[in-house]
Amino acid sequence: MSSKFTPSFKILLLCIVLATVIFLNVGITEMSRMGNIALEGKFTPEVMDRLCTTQSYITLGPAGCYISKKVIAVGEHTLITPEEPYR
Amino acid sequence: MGALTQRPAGMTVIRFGLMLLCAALAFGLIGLGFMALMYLLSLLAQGRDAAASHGISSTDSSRFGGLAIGIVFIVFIGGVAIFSPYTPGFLRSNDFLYIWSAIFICCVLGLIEDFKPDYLPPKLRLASKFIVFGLLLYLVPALIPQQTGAPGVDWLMQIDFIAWLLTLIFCVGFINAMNMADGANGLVPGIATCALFIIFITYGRPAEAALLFTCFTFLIFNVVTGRFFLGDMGSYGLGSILAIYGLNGVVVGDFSPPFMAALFAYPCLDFVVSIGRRLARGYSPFAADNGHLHNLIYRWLKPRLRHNIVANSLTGLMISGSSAGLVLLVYLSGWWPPSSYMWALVFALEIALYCIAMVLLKRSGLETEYTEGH
Repeated sequence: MSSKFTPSFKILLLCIVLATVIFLNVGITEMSRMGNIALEGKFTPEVMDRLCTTQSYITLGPAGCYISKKVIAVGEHTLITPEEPYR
Repeated sequence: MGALTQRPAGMTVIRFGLMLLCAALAFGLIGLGFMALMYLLSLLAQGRDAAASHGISSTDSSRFGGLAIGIVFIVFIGGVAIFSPYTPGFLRSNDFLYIWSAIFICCVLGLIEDFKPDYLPPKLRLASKFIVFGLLLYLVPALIPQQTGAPGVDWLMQIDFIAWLLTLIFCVGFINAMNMADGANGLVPGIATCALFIIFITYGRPAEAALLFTCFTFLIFNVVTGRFFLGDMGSYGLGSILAIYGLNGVVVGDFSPPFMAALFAYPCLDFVVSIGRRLARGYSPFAADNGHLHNLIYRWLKPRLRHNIVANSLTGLMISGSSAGLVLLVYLSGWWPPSSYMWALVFALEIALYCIAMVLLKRSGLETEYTEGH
């Protein structure tokens, strides 16, 4: 089985796994941080407005920040009233 | 066969830089990470299409776009589920479990085809999709719409078995239509990005967020490099996801049937016209030909622009922009709500545009060539 894969192929696979894990982990960690701040601030409009920091813009970009804020705002519904799940 | 291919020759520094800049400006570091993943996957020798196998591409390309989207989607949903209180839908309800199982099976069918072309005969793949979606619609009857707005069809939809059968034919047909349209750069990913943007604005759940991010970033990579296609996994997966979202949106009243028809006008129209054209000429509906509108536009543009990737990408962006892009523009302008039946006017406009473009291109002397299945 291992003879079918050359060393360069294995290195490439390793790079693919690293690219996926490192960059996505950075993004998910940032989204999680934003989510925790929103949760601690009880999703008030002031907290939601200040959710995106410079770190968020570097990690997620403007589009990613907008998407994350929307996901967190929709998620609030589930957190506060768990008996009413996502649609 | 080597495990790696040559570094793509057409990947110039300017194009590569432009692509990375777009990804970074939109999605920051995670956009760059996904670009790196797609670039690495495009280097694999497995899953490659020979030049012109789509009747439109002139360079070797990778079919692992769907695999890249699938990897990122699974890692993202898994990560969000681990690091936040979010519980993925398939763990919360049986309906979501059945839905995502059906999508997963369609993706696996496509992935097998991407790794080993023609390993599964076309009829077996078609039969598998009918069985998977037949079971899904039986287990989740809430996905079957009762009202479409068309008087004759609505009468038929009152009969459970006919409603199930018509919805099944629609779902499988739609998935095949998406697969058939996956040729020009940015065509299917462009349509999918517009559709997912509207779906994300409507629902805003993590799954739609992940799909919107992956489709948009893939669109940039696909359009700029011209070396990375969705492949069967991508077109089957996105086709099944969009078909199910569309059905669910119509059933719950968030979207009207004419809105969904306008949004997905190009793949559906081109699929129906292509099947009709093949049958009229005595060919099998499974035959391959280069008579699709995107083939004709590309063949018309290519000698005028003298650059294959520009002609290919411009074809895809023109079609996705004038179909799903037009719908997105009207939607964002707030002209009509997506639940309005007035979207039938936009759909009628898209049909007229399709017919006019076909007639004009045929008159310019472009002939259709059939390659198999006579």
